[in-house]
Amino acid sequence: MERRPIYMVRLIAFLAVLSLVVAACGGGEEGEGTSVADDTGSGDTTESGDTGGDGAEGELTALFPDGTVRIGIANEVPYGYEGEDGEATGEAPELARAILGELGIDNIEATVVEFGSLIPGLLADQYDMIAAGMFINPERAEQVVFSDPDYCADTSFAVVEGNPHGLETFESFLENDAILGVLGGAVEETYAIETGIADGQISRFGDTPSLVDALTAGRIDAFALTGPTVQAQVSNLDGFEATEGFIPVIDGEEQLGCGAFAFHPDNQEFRDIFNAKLKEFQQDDKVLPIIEEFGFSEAAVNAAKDLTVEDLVG
Amino acid sequence: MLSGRQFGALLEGAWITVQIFVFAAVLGTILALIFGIMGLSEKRLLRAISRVYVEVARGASAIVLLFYAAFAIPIILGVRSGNTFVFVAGIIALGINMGGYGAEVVRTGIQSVPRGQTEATIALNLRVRDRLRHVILPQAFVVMIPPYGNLSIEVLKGTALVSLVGISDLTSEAQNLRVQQAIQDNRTPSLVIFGTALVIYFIFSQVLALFFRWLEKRIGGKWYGARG
Repeated sequence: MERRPIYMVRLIAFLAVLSLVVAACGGGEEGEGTSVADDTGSGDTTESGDTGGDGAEGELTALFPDGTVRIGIANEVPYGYEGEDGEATGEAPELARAILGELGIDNIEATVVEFGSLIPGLLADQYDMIAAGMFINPERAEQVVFSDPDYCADTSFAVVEGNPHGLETFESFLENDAILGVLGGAVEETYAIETGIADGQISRFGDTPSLVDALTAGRIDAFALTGPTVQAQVSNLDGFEATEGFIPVIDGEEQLGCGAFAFHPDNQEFRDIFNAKLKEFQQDDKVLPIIEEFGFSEAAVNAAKDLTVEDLVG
Repeated sequence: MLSGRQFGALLEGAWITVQIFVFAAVLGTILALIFGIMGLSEKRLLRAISRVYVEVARGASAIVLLFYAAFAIPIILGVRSGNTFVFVAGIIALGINMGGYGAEVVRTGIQSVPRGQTEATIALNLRVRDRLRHVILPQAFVVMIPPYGNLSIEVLKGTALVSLVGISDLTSEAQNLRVQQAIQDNRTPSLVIFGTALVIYFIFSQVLALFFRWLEKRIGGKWYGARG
């Protein structure tokens, strides 16, 4: 009987050790991470070579001394996805790669998360920038800092070949009983509701592959996404086609969707250096050749050329 | 059918799933034993601590814990996140969740041992430590193992949640292959992709089920003298 306390003491000791272990894990993580964020970059930035910079190059290698920038993507074709070789590719990662390459960053490390987790992941410093072609809007601009847009996209429907319902714009759905598939929470859902399409005619899905599966299974008659996405999806889908792209008009106003790169609010310096280089790319017409292969048109690139974040946040 | 590359991607994801499960299960089991035994303590404070832990760990959904660990903790602590951080965060969240359920399995398992057994050990003048180690726990383990096997299979499949915070587990790789349908010459039907993932999860859970069956037999045979 008198020995009971020993057992309890052991238990408590075990608990104490466990909490120390947990604390140590946390601490280790912290230590491991500080190299990039805190580095003031006094030393050598001579690593990058031939591009003959304007000083910005040195500043960026100072921010990322190991020459690696981590990007967050949402696995959306053609905006940002893991290619078959496991490397991040798509409109935004390729453009980011080209721009960062001229700034002396040779290595890009991509993390794939759900679209809705892109901003939380950025704020938690899981990666340094979002390269997912994310549309600039006021709600998002309150949480992150955007670069200026690099493209503006129209909207399009994927439909059965021949477009039997004659779907051209969101208004088309007011005249028939076709079912429209959208991504829950995406801009197309908002457009559909604000156009006045009956709720029974709108079907919500979680991701693009599910929309494609629903269309091929005949559960929906069309799905609405940005032009480049629809193009990419129908390109290898027999018996389906993309309708001509259009700019949705809500309450008499054209809803132009323009995508950009997003950065942590504490990382304004990175954003500014990146944005300056992006602007340079746009002036020199170097954007289109990079993103053309992903289905982006000259019109999409030119529409964004002279726009700034402020134009879209309003 | 899946191409070799696609199958390879799924297997790579499956390996991550196995790692997350094993680490989470080890953490969960340690927590389950600690808080399960604490829940039977004569000290009111220890019982209260155990109660609070169990209710919080069971009550908070695994996915909320996961998002909290992956997205909120780095901001609160001001640390830099990253793939390793999220990996560890996922394991800790799943482990805490499992520990909550496991603690109840441990507590009820010990309570299922008839009181007379404890009284007998007292009559034999065994120390508390020896009572637990040689008499109570061996009998309790036999009762605990089937529900613990259940719980483990549940946690194994629960690991799919980590795909939502950017860990490339089996589910995440399957989703990835679905996305890549758009860039292939010939689409691989979602049915095939998810079907394969389903089979892999099934094999894993069967391995677990067999392991617990074996454990049940072994411990039962070794400790449960009456069964011979």
